[in-house]
Amino acid sequence: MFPQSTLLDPLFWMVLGAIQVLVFTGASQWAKEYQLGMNWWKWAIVGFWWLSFILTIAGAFTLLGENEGNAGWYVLGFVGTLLVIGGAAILKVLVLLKPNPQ
Amino acid sequence: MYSKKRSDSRKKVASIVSVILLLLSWYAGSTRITDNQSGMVEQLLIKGDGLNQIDDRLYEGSIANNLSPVEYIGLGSGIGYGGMTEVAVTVSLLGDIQRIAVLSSKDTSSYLDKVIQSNLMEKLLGQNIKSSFDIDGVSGATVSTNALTEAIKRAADPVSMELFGINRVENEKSSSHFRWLDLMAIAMFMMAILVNKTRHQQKSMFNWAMLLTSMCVFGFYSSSLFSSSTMGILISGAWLSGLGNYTSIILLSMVILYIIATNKNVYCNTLCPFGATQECLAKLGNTKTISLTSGVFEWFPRGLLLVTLCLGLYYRNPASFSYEPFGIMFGMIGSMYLFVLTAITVVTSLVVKRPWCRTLCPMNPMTDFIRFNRQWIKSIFKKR
Repeated sequence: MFPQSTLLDPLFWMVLGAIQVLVFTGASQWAKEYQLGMNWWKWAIVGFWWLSFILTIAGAFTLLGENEGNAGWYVLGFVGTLLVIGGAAILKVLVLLKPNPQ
Repeated sequence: MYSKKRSDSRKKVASIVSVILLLLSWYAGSTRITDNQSGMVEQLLIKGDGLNQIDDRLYEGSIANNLSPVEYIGLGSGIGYGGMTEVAVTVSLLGDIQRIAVLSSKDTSSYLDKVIQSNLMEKLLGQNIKSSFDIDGVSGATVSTNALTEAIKRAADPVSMELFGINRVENEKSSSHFRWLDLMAIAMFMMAILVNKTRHQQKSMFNWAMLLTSMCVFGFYSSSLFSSSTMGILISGAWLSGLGNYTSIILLSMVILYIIATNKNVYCNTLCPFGATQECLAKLGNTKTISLTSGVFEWFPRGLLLVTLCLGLYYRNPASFSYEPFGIMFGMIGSMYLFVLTAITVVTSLVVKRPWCRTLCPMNPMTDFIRFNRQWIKSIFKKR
């Protein structure tokens, strides 16, 4: 993202990596708190979505760092927006498929 | 009571000032230095160094001290989204196309740029005007492509007549520009009126059906929903000289006439494709309806629409002045700024209900203007 800077560039990617740790450790707790009743295929869908999202951000900011500004913003805006909508749809489905509390 | 009177006075002043500004913009646009057509045409000469006008659509290029022409330049026009697209074509004595230039266009610049970037005109260079040059359309910019193609054919026509005595282009009737989409617009508007009037149990379901159909047909399929540029085209009268697509103008005209007749707007909640998109996204997210009471949200969109319409009237090119995200949403065509606006609006729609409708949509200022003036005129006639 910041190819001209020896400080900001690694910092950016370290922050992105740190967010990953927080998400991975927090996701399971969050799902338990909201009683989503996660199983293997639900985690697979959520994992696939998260992977797509993080690759989109990484790809877009890599393009920005490679001085391909328009391409980067278009990837972020187009694919990113679609993924945000997809995430909302997945969340809606997970909430709808919540097991009934006994 | 007093604040309402003050608010009404303010609105009356704003209404009168708006009309005056629009008229002034129209007048100022007419006094602008118009394009020097023969000056532009002269720049299209390749071999010749002098230009002789034969008629209003045909020029011949000649060399000094030589009576015979060395090339011809033909002018032609086609009907685009916002009005006429004018083109000039330089043709050699053998009938080969050597140069093509767009002299003027009233289409939205993003669509025109897309057509030009597809190298549509480059593909024609070197072709002979005796052959039928059929050109592939550019996806998402069909109207602009058709306008340019038609203009090029019409520009080649006087040259073809001069060189070979062949008259190629038949005069197209303006009614051939009406399509099934226009009939669909009229039919769906009538259905929208019925849906809004009905008290049937399934009214909500009918409304959703209308919204989804409109989103698919007028949105994603044809991108023919109206915008501030359509309003500009309507008030400027550019539609009188012909348009490549009448669907948006027909929809807008029906909406305006219905508001004048009944004071009701059936478009926003039942027909608007972008509104439908926002409603679909609202269903996905846990949306809240927020009330925006600040005067900024009332007056800023009004000012924005007024400036847009004034600029369109001044430059005689309403199609170039619009700020809605519809082109990006339904056709992926538009500037980077509109792209960002579209992304923000779409993501916000997951959290807030209809954010575009509640903030920048030009439909609200237009509806407010018509309703207010309708009420004002009614009260004047009542007093008398």
